[in-house]
Amino acid sequence: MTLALTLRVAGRLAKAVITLVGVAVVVFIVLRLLPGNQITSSLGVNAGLLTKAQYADLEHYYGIGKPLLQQFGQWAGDLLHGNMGVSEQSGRSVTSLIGAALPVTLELAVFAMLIGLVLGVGLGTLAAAAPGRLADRGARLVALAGLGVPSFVIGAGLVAFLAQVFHYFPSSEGFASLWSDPWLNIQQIFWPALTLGLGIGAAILRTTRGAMLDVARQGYVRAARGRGLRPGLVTVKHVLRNALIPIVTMSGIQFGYLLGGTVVVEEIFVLPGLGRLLLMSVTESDYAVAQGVTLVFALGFITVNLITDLLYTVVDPRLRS
Amino acid sequence: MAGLAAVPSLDVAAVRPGLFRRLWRQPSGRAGLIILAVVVLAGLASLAGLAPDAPDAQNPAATLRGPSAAHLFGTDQFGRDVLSRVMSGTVLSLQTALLAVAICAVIGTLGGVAAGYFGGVVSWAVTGLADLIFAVPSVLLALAIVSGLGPGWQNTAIAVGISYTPIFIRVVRGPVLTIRQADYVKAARVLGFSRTRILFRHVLPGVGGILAVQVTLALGWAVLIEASLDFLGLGPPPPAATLGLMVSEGTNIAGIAWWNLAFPAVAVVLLVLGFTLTGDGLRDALDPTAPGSS
Repeated sequence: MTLALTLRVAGRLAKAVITLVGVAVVVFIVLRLLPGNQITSSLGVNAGLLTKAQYADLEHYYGIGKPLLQQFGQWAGDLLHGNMGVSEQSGRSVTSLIGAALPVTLELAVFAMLIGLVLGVGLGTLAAAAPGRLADRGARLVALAGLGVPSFVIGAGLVAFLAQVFHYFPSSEGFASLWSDPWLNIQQIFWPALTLGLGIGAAILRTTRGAMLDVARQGYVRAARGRGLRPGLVTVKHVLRNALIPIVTMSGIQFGYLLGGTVVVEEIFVLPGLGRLLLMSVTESDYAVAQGVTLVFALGFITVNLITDLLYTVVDPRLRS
Repeated sequence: MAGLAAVPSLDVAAVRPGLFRRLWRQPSGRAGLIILAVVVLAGLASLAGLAPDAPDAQNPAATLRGPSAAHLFGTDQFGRDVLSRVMSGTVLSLQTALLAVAICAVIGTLGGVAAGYFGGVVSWAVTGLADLIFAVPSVLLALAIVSGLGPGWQNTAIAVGISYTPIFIRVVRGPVLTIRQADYVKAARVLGFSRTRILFRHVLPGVGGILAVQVTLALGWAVLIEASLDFLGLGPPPPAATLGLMVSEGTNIAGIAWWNLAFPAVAVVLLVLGFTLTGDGLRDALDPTAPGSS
């Protein structure tokens, strides 16, 4: 690695860490601004029955009375030791809750991204190879549908369809992990992954098509064709290869949206992932869990951005010098 | 509603004679405009009291009826007229999207112009803040705002607006970096014009076209997120007729009454598509280097 590249990577890493710390601060403050506190969220209406002394004891236990900065320091210190606190609703540690939910969301995200990439880059390449032809029109229609139909509508439609035709209900049996029952797991993950993948694929398709059409106008592509190279070879090695930067950028952005999209899709298909955990924890004002899950989401988002940035150097040799 | 006025005023900078005609000539622009016209007319009709029924008027004698002459879109489990509810939901979606985009367009544009024009600490602070908002899932942001301020369409709009602000900052900042180096801006500075005058009269019009496109696309996105939040139960509570909530309730009874799922779903899709297509067409119509649209 050259010095310039090392500096670039180091700069990106530093920026990622700063953003993550910033997110931690923002999340901490936002959740403190919400009405209610750990006492009311764990005891509900019964919090009103506490005597003054009991309430003060609990406040002391949760550290509520302490200055915000001290509370934050405590939380951040514990966090660095892998201790994210305890869920007020279930009594389980936040780390174990996230540990159970993370594989589900990761699996969903990876499958959705794969579907999106295959659909987007594949159909996009086909469309760009023959602009205006039937394949192109078909691909553009798919892209339009994927962009215009929100994932909750696709998901709701799929659930209604599966129930009607296959008498399949997502909530009818518990979630099976990839290790315990791979076949059932694939069945449970496929539909939500498809739901998310369609939207991602549409965006990647449009970017792929546009970028490839731009590259196809370049002189070296005409020259390659003129030298009598096979059209398929020119499309993949000369056009697609040089159109990769916008495709990588768009895929990174879409992966970021995907993380947010898991909340909706996990809710529809009753998957016990991070998205549902986040939704439940916030509606039950289970602070510790909401903080933890948000941080994991932000970490995922920032990591994806970092990887996207670093991928540019792989894709574009000019950035390596 | 004062914020709403800001959106058209941003558009004005981009509108040159013949823009509408150029937009109409684009296939996607034309399709988008037609869809939007239909949807907006349906919304206006609802506002004018022309809907067949009140959106929350129950009729126990006619529950779950299929589409018929009396109820074009059928009725739901409470005997409410689905067409009237879809029309009312469309109004709710449109007003939420307009307010949300007014918020993110104004804040995002000011932030983007400031970051691009002043550079230095301002740019660092603004883009840093944008990255922060970007990294927090918009659903959490929305959840926090809704549970802090209480459910309601205005609060949904605030949540959606804040989460889209970083996009406006990014989209505006880039071109401003170029524009501040342009000769006419340098000339304005040499002539001793005030900073405010330069920013609003010389720099801002330069990003008008990009803004017009972004505002249109943002409206589609806002409808999408707003409906998703309603779907998750984070929007205005029942009996408010939001399209997202109707899709959610419709899914449960789709097997016996498909029209409860299909019509609100189609309405959401038309709203999102209408704005997205118009935005695409607008981008091509404003782009002098775009190849012919045929």
